[in-house]
Amino acid sequence: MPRWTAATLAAKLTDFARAPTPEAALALGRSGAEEALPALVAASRAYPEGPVAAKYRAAIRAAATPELLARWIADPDVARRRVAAHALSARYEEHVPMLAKALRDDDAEVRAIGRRALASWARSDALHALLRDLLAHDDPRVRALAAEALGALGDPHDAPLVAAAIAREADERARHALERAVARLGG
Amino acid sequence: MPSALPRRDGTLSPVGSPRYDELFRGGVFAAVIGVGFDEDGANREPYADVEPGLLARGFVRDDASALALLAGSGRPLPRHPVPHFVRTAGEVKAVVTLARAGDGAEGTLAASAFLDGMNRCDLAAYAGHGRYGTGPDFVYNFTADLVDAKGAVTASFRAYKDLEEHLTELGAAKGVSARKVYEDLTAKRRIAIRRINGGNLVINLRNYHSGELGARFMIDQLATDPSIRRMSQQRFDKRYRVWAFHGCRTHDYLLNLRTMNPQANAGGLDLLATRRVCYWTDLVPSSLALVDGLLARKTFAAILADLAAVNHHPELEGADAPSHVADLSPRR
Repeated sequence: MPRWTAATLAAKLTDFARAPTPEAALALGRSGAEEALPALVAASRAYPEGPVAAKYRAAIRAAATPELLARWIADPDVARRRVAAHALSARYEEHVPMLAKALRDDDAEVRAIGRRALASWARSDALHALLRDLLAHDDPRVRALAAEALGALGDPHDAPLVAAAIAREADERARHALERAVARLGG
Repeated sequence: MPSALPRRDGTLSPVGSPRYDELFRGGVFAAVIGVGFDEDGANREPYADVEPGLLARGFVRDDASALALLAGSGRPLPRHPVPHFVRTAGEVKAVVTLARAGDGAEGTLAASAFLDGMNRCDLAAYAGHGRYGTGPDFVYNFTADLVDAKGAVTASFRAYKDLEEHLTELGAAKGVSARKVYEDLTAKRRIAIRRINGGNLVINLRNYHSGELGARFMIDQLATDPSIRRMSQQRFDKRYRVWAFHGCRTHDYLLNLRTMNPQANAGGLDLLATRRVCYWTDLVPSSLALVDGLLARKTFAAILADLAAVNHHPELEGADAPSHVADLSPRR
């Protein structure tokens, strides 16, 4: 339940657009108001580095509940899907189904943001299954990311799947990633 | 917290102008604009696209004419296959070379092209991450794997922001800081870092931001990589040039740029840098404003005023003074 009235939220978003601060971002993130997420993502992306950048990320994590992300990543509005994609991370198992959607979105930008979200990850069963699936993705960059991650996960049961992917791989970089993965998997 | 490390901060009140007679010798002005890498893709957003800004200023993409202008004015030719834009209207013909990180796949090439431009061009303007004072960067910095006691990878990171966020979360669960988690993992050899430093042009390895974990990651892995390209070891022709760095707190670069490479300073080197954090949205516009200012033969004070206008964000820490500073070579 949002803790602010619509008028209060609108005023705070206006203030934030005019003068974004990490404290205001955290307050917006914790407000439960999903309308805050686009502003938080935009502010985070405009801030290159420094301690403030981490606070913007924390604000996004507070705002972007799995339930919200699941709705927005399937939204007909591409702007919402892009915002949701920016809030995804393969470090969170509950994000993996949304990440799978993002990587196969009709919009190239959503897919690109999804690739970024896949680049850093934490081990989970859901991610492992997704990575195996992504070896057959249309985009060789995704196939390469999946191969690298599977190699790092180090499950020897994946070796035959990765080896089979090498045989059909036409992209040089993806093939190299697959070959490195097979080597790590002992295939 | 103020750092006790040696540094130069530059000045907000520079006196005089660039040496336009040398900058525009032969009636030509050569610039390289570098756009560094961002793990979140900010460098590929419309606001980081240099080309529309150049086209709006009357430049056209014309590699052959660019090479002819450079050769005709006695300037070295570019050594890397990157795009060139020219503007032939006006008293001074301008050639602008672009060195862009893109998605990072060509980041090493972009870094090489920018470094080449730092030597051969009259202006080299970088727009991108300051990387905690270490220098321009055109590619991912590293991958870091966390491993368990058996050596199995439990998590992998391609961006220091992701690693910092993860360690913060791990630390929060234990009631310790992300820095403590990092130090523990390092001591136990539970973090394996693979360096990707082909896109780094390393200016400085002092940690001017010791309170920030990202700075620790960055400097730890650069300092132990014998293959990094250090600016102090690059060769530069003896002549006057202007270098500008639009990114967060790039005044961290000034001391080493001034003291560590006599060759770069021998013919005169004027430096422009920032004294606070900046927004990505303003970085490429800053480079374009600088090109405008130089072609209009403005004073350094006027150029800093223009850059401050581009970067006008009163809400930012340190925004009580202009965004950029100058560190000028001695005038004859």
